[in-house]
Amino acid sequence: MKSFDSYQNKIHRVGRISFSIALFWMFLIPILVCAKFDIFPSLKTYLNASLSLFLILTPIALSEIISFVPLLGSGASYLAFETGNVSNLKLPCAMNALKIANIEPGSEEAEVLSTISVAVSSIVTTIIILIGVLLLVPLASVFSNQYINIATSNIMPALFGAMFLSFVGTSNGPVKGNWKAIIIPFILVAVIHYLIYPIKGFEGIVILLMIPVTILGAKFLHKKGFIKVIKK
Amino acid sequence: MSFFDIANSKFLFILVSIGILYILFQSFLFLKISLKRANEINISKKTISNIIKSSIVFTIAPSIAIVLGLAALAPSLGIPWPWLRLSVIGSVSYELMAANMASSALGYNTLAEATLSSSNSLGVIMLAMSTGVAGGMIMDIFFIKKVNTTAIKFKEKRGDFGIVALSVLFFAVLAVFIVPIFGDGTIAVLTFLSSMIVALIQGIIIKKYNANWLKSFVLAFSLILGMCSSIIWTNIFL
Repeated sequence: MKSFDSYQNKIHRVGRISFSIALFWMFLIPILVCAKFDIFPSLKTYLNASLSLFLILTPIALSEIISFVPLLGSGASYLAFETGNVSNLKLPCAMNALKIANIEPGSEEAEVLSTISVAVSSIVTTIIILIGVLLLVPLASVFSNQYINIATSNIMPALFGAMFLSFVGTSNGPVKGNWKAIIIPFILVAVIHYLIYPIKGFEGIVILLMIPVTILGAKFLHKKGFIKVIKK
Repeated sequence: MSFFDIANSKFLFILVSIGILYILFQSFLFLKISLKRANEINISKKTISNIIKSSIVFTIAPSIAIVLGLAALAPSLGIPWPWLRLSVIGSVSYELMAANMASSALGYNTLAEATLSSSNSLGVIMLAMSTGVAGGMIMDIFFIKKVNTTAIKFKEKRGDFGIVALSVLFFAVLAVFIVPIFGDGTIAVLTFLSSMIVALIQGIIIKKYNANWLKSFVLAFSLILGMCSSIIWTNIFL
């Protein structure tokens, strides 16, 4: 029987190579589309649109790697991070699988079973989304309807109405009272946007500035006892 | 050619289909490797079968919710690009925010404005959305092994404050996107409030009737019903 190290080395080799190919293809698609239809942006426009997104999403990704990899194990991590929907699907799916098998994360069995779980989950999700796409394609002509245009013009308020409640309203996790930490960034962004300069077009920069402000505000509230961490 | 002529073109569909086939291939490859190892370390066939069944069942509802998210994104970005983005890396909320930020950087007020004005904005949106997640993908390639082998226990080292910091990290994003909504007119504000109320009602139903299956759908239903409410508000107020 091959050792666990040998299995791990194979997983990391396959993971890194296959992930790199996915990254390459993910960039190649927009490059090929831009080349075929002659819609390449200028470098300035591209950097302006991309930089803040890159600076915001990269630390969030690092935080997820540190938090989730010890739970998922290596094989499941490569697949989960590539296919996405980690915290709302892949991670709970894998943890549910380990619970059913009565195995704690961190063991070799957990590594292997969690990889099986995430692989199956990825296959099922891909097939269901494919079915969804096949059902949507005949409806594509409907998307230019005036009512659809009204709805899509208001997609961001609709998204954030739901997200506001899900992030600020729920108290299922160990942190209680953390909604209070949203007050300071809200007030600051309102002052900047309405009294100093509109932030549209600069959302990325403002987010990067507000992250430390929000965290420092939360630290103060935590110290004063307005935000509590309940240990189970 | 218009934005949607390109966004829904056969060319893009073919490129994305190749990407999706690759994801399926990768998933089967990892499944094969892990099933082989499971046999080598004598994990029972019954355990493996239970894991597979539970993973299939667990995945169905959230996947349908993702399809609803795709249906919500398709009128803004076409079908193939959101299909790729929701199958690789992203989630509905991240993809919408990224697309909106890319449009904003081009000087448009909304994503809808960007898509209606010029096909050039599609190139920027696609490249910006890909670049946005590239940093994370590069770190996955280099750091998954490091984190897994050294088992950095960040959660234990950082203490309570680290848990609090992570729980409020997203509030900065919420503030930046929600505050301007209140200056975007009555329809935007009413849509925001309607979506929030729909989410609240679903939360009450989940709690009162123990309808845990509904949890996967809260965001998708609130998004779609919120968008539908904007049509009603527009007819009333404009």
